[in-house]
Amino acid sequence: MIEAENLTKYYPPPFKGFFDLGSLRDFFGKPREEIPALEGLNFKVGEGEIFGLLGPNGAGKTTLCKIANGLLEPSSGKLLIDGHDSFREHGKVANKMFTVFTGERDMWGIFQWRLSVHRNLKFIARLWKVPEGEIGERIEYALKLLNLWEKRDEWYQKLSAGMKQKVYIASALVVRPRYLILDEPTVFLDVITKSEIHDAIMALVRDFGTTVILTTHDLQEAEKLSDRLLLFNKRPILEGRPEEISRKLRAPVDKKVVALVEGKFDCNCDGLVKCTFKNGYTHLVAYLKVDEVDEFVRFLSLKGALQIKVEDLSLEDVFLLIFDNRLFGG
Amino acid sequence: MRDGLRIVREFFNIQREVFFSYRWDVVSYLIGLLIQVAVMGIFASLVTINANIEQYGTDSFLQFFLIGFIVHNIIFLPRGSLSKLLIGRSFPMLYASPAGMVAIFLGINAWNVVWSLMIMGLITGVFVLFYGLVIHINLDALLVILAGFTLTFALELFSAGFRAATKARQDPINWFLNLTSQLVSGLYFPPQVLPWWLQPISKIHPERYILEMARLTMGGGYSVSQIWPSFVNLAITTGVMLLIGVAMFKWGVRKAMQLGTLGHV
Repeated sequence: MIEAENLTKYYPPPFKGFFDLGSLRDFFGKPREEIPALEGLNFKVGEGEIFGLLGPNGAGKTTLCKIANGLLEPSSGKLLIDGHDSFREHGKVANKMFTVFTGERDMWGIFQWRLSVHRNLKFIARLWKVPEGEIGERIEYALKLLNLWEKRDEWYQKLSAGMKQKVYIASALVVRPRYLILDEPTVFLDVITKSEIHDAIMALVRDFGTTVILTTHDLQEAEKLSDRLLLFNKRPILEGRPEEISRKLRAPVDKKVVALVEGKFDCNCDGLVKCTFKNGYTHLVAYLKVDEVDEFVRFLSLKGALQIKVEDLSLEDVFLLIFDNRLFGG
Repeated sequence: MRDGLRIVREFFNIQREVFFSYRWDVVSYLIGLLIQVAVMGIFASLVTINANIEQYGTDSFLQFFLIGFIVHNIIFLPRGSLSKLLIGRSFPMLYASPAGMVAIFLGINAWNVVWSLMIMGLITGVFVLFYGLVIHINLDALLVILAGFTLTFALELFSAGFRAATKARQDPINWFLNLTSQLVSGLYFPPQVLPWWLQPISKIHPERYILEMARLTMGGGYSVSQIWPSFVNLAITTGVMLLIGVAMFKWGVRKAMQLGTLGHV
């Protein structure tokens, strides 16, 4: 079980240079102010569950991954993995975990560019102490599942970015960890590769009982994969099953109206409206209650709107409503 | 222990495979090395220097120069060994793995150390066979080299701690050591020929004393008991620097863990 207990992390203000005495004091002593990265995060993840952590950029997703891997000391609270503190008892939990870090730099750091895919996976397997007799079979299973078997003897450097990411996921399939932490595992990938990676994650959970923490800002991915979701932006906002979250959040507004109006349109109206003026047209998105929709559509028609579409709210819209402060006027 | 050795062996193997995957680089390196050794030998045979070379236990500039070159390359092997690992892009994954950090550190440097020692052995062999270099390989010489190696490692610990905490891409400590060791430590010429204003820097440079002792033991066949005051000084300096280096390393890593800069995820 993975359990976050009031997990909090503050960073000192950014370092402004050696000639800034305040920055030096922040670095060597107690910082003048503390910038929150995570505040009071609480959650529990049960065995074999996929738990989605959904937040915008800067929400604290990578901070959480660092804490889970013992790379970052929390300011207070703790993250427990099978009852062991992930930071202070990192050695006791490392053999149960595998993390797919985000970002080009870290994503590909462990892999040797001038060695084959197969050799790289063998190296990872030995690092994670996979029994020697099982390594070959596990690599074959992982590469076949991710449609990489034909590429097994190719140098890692010759693979495309998507394939490299699939190799990273393949290494999780080879290790078969008890806990898998995925830090935005499909960022920048095309739909097909995403789908293959999603299948691989599901296979890990289904076939080997792996528990997954998935941090993402991709709503479709979170909705598709997660058993439960936690929406957070430094602080926890909502937790529940994906459909529960959608339901809870739809209370203030129900519908989305998308319209295209010729010329510059005055957006100075009540409600959650966002206007973008480009190439002589105004693209308008409004979030409204059901009983406001008809009136708003009539109003747009009178203004000569070229297109009007009324849609149900998706989880993505909900996400925007929560996190995009501009919609709320800051 | 057995697990640790398996990890070290795996790192050694994978680094060797990567090294030899750069086939043309290896060929170019070996050709370059051959030329370098030939030129160095000829250079060292031809140079005469107006200084009292015998006081270093070496009877010719060739012996003075070549022993200095070999010892310098061995004792500087720990340079960058830890800081490159800490700030390297593979660190987060390595740290997150169940392999212990000591095994990872030894493993990630194993190939480089073994390869460098093989090359140094080869160069020494060429110098002995073709240029008449006389060296005494004895326990005393090994002790001096070991002390020098440990001192460089202590400085590397200090440097790694500094770089982990500050995210410095540059390595000012090793940069300073490297530059000054070339110029003032007596690597290529006796420090006594330096101008007066460089003498104080030379006198505080630890490599000066390591090279002096290495030349006395390897060139002149001295024993540690004959050079014990210098050796005790070196041992004390190494011990003190090791304590400071460990303290700095611990502080730097702790700071990086608080700031989130460890591994730069």
